[in-house]
Amino acid sequence: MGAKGTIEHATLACHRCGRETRHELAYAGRLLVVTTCLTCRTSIERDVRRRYLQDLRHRMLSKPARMARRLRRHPVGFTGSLPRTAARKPWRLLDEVRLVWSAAADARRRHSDDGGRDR
Amino acid sequence: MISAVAERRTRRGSAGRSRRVPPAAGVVLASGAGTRVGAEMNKVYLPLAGRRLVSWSLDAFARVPEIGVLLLVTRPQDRELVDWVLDREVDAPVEVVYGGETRQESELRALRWLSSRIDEGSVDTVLIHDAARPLVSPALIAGVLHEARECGGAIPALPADDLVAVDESGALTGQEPASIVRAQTPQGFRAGPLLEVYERAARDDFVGTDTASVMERFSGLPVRWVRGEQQNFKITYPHDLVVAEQVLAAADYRT
Repeated sequence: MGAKGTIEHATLACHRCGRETRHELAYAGRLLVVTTCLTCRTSIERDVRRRYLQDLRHRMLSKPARMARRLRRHPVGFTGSLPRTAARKPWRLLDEVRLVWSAAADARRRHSDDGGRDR
Repeated sequence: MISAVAERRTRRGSAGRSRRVPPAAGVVLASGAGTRVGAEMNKVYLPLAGRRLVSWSLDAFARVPEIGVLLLVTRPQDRELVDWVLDREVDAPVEVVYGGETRQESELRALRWLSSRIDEGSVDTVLIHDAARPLVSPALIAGVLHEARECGGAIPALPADDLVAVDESGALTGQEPASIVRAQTPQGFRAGPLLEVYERAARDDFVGTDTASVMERFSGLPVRWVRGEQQNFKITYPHDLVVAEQVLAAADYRT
């Protein structure tokens, strides 16, 4: 999977390993999209396309208020970082969209594989 | 001596809390598992529905009017992350204390940080909460606080109705373990006895499984249970994050 979204790492318990291991978690906006155990490489993908679009709409509507809050708290830092973050935003958004659609395809594939076995 | 130490007061938080100082303290533990495992990123700073896990708990405590002091016990290596979270996601004033190697040591450091206020009576009850339980509600916090003030100690718990009793050979006895409950947090206790008990446990090298077990070992103070909440589960597996995210989305991102 080429798209990454926002990546975080943390120690969580892994069902397959049966112990706490290092995990990689990929987020798109407020949504957790993919989790991967870095020991056994077990990953869980979610199909969050519909929720992602709803969440994106919410983020766009609330963005002005969030920006105003940051401007009030840190006027210098916020203003200084604005050109860079604004320039990066379209690419980050594109990366999120690719992550969400790619994870949805993986989730569908996994679901159909499981269904095939069940039958 | 507490190694900690920073105090942050956000602008809105300070203004909103200057009217009165209620005498109860909320302690949110964010220093436990990550310290034991190593230098790995602590799960309580993972994003959950647009905020870091720990800030959901802090926000729930901040919405209980009787909580006058809010403490975050963290690891020194998480300092930058803590500053970021408190600046961006938490409006209430939060005091930051560095924890120890174990949960109990972290609790002791928090209690020592509060000791002068406990001695002078400006903190009468302490509630200790695990930051890995982000969906705790203000109602549950208030309920535990009320019961702790009434009885001396209180913990939230759920009836463990999925347990079965077995004998020494491993066979089912057919009897139901009727008095077993699954403990949650926050666990609340009168502040004076709690500090005394933790100091004594440290002298005796006693390590309990949770706050209540330390109290039971060294104090005669009654500890009652109040009904916990299903959604107040501990984030352990990656899937727990997905469930928590869905619970928050269904509740319009309020605990």
